[in-house]
Amino acid sequence: MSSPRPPRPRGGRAERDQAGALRLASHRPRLRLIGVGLTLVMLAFTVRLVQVQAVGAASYTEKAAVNRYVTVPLTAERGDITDRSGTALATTVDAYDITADPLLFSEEESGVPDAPQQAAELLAPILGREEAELAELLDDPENRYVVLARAQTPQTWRQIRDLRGTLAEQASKGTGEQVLSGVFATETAKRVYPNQDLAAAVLGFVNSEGEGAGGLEAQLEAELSGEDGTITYAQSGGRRVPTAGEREQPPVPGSDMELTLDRDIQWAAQDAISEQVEKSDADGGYVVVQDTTTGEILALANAPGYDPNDVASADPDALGNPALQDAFEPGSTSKLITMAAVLEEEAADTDTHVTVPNRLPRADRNFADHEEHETLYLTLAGVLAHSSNIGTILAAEQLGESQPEANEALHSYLDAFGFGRPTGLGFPGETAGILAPSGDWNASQQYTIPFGQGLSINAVQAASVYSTVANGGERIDPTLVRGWRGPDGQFEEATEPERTRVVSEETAAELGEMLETVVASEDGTGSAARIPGYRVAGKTGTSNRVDPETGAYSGYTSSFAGFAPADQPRVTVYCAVQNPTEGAYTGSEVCGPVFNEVMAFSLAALQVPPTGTEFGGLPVSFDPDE
Amino acid sequence: MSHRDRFTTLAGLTRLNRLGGLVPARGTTAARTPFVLLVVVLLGAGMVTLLILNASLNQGSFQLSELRRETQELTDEQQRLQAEVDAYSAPGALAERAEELGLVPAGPPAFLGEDGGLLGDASPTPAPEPPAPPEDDSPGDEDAGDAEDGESGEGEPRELPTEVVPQGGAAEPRPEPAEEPTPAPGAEAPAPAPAPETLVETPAPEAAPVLPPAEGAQTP
Repeated sequence: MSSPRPPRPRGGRAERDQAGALRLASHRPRLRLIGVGLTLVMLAFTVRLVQVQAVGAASYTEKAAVNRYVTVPLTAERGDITDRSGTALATTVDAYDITADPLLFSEEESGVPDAPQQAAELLAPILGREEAELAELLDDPENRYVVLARAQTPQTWRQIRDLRGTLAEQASKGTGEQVLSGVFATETAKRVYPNQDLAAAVLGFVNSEGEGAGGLEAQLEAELSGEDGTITYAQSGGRRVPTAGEREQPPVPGSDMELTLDRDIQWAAQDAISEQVEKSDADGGYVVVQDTTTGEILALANAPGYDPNDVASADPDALGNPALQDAFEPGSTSKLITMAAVLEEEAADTDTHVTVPNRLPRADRNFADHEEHETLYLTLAGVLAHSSNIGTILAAEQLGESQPEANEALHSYLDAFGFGRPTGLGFPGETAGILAPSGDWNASQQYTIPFGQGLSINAVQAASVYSTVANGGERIDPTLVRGWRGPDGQFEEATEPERTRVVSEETAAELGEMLETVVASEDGTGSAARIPGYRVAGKTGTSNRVDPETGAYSGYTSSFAGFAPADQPRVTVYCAVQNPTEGAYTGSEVCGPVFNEVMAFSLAALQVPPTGTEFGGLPVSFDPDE
Repeated sequence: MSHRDRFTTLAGLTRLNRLGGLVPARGTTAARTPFVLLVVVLLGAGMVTLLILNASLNQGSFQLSELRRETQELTDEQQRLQAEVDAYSAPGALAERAEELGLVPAGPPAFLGEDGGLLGDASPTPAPEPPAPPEDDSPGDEDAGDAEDGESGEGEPRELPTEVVPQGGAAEPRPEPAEEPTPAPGAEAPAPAPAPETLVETPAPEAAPVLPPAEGAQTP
């Protein structure tokens, strides 16, 4: 009592004054108790701290990261497809899918009774859709997601955004109502084919996922698509935290594929064949343009075509690449192979005399030529120039001692020229054609195959035969891809195509002269192919066509194949038209003008000068009295 | 109590003095002011630095998003213009434009050989029946322009028609080239052989310069 604690507050003194008799227990046990209590609390805190910070740290970090870090996929940009000069034939641009949340258009949410109608009225002209259609989509509050329009341009989305902004401004001023608050956009990529239907059959198209679904887009999917990446970053309230660590696995863009196609020649070919197919009211047609010295395909045109920008409205039957996927009987254009075999085996010469009767009895039937004639006295060159079936059968018979031997010899040449097996392009859905082994040829087949009936090929195989002859008898596998430019910007060339010798150079030269005779000779069937100033080699073909529906012969396949300049070939052009029903149907009348137009254009586009030499053609007939 | 206090202070002081006489005899009030100031200044400076840092970070983030937006807009614009250029330079569109201008497809070209001789057919281009000149009047042009745009139906097809038609500048020079070709093939003029070749090639560069005014007229 006499010695109170020195730092006692004033209250203490007052308390003491009022209750002088207050006795306090000893403070020491109290202090000890508090001390122990505090120690326990501290201990509990420490234990918890160690538990949180040291023992369970990883799991807590993980739990926190779930909400703090988000991982967003980064889409790899799909590579372009370009022509041989680098002009884009297929490219990818930014686009937006315009979507909406119909709930936000209901009366409770928007405060406007007819928000869907008003919004539809505003959006219809921008999106190019029917107003009623849009209103119906939006007037469905049960639904939370509708797609109003796919793959719109950024400009379209900006227009909608601006409109929404204007409405919001008006709404805040009380002069209008905001009816577009439920419209959103999702960024996507859009595949664009700037030249519309140009080379569509070759390029193919992509599906709605942006993956190749047809043509080269499907074939080269692995190279074009690249590799998607991801980015992980810290976010707070939907915003990126700038200083927090982020991890990015950048996407690897796809390679740009450079094709062997020449855009201009492709256009000329497509233009010519489309016009002819329309004029002849035909089922379809194809043109193949091939560089004879490299095997590169400069144009692969089909008619009718489609616009890959709008696959949805294209005819599903027209979505393929018929030039590679149609197997048809080549007809007279494949007589060249019979001639090649005969010359190479030295069974005959270009001026060997062939007496051609009007009818030739073989197997169970009488073979005839395309027109009735007196007995003709032709040279071998004349047989080709007149496109005589009988003459060709007679020549093919010289290939062996017996008919089976002759068949086998012919088969080996057909095989060497690439019939009956894939072209090597690896194009999806490509046909190898049908070429039966020589032992399986039936009685009539062994006489029809020499003039191109009873076997099937595709258009590229047919063009390849002429390119082989043009290239001095050496066959080069056709190619469609020149190379690709990877993400590192380095151009990598495609592997060299395979080269195989089919016939000797002398034989090839003789065949070239025979083909030139077809075009140059007065009696030849190929005069439609003449180009002033140039020496042109070519051959017509008019074959009976197998109707794919009935499996029986019906209608014709008209074709024309050739190369120029004949003495120094650079380009092969092959044209075929399936089932021409209007006007003429012969190869020279239907495909001759197409060949002529495409060849002339190709020579000019490639700046191929004429060789300046003259050739009148080989003698086509002989005088039997001599 | 006060006696006791004084005693303690005195005792403390003597103890400190004994330690080396480092402490001034009077209290430490004099030395405290600069220290407090220093601490205040340090704290203040720290706060201000933090503020500035934060502000500049925000500023940077604003700038970043602004630049991102600008990049996006420019990319969009570039893609739009590219699509437009592509639509014009597509071979089909070029051919149509060339035809509009009165050009005809060239015949086979002729070449000058290394010895100076002429290779190929040097006679005047056998012009496939020249298009009737009256057809090249402006209404005809407009129709042709529309047809061309209908074909290029991708990207923003709606914008193209407005661009081809209002070519006020280009519409005037057009009739001239349209009329000129008529005398050229008709009068057996020694039409220079390479000319037909150039006829095919030139529309490409020629069509391109037409674009800027057209697109310039559209953007405002």
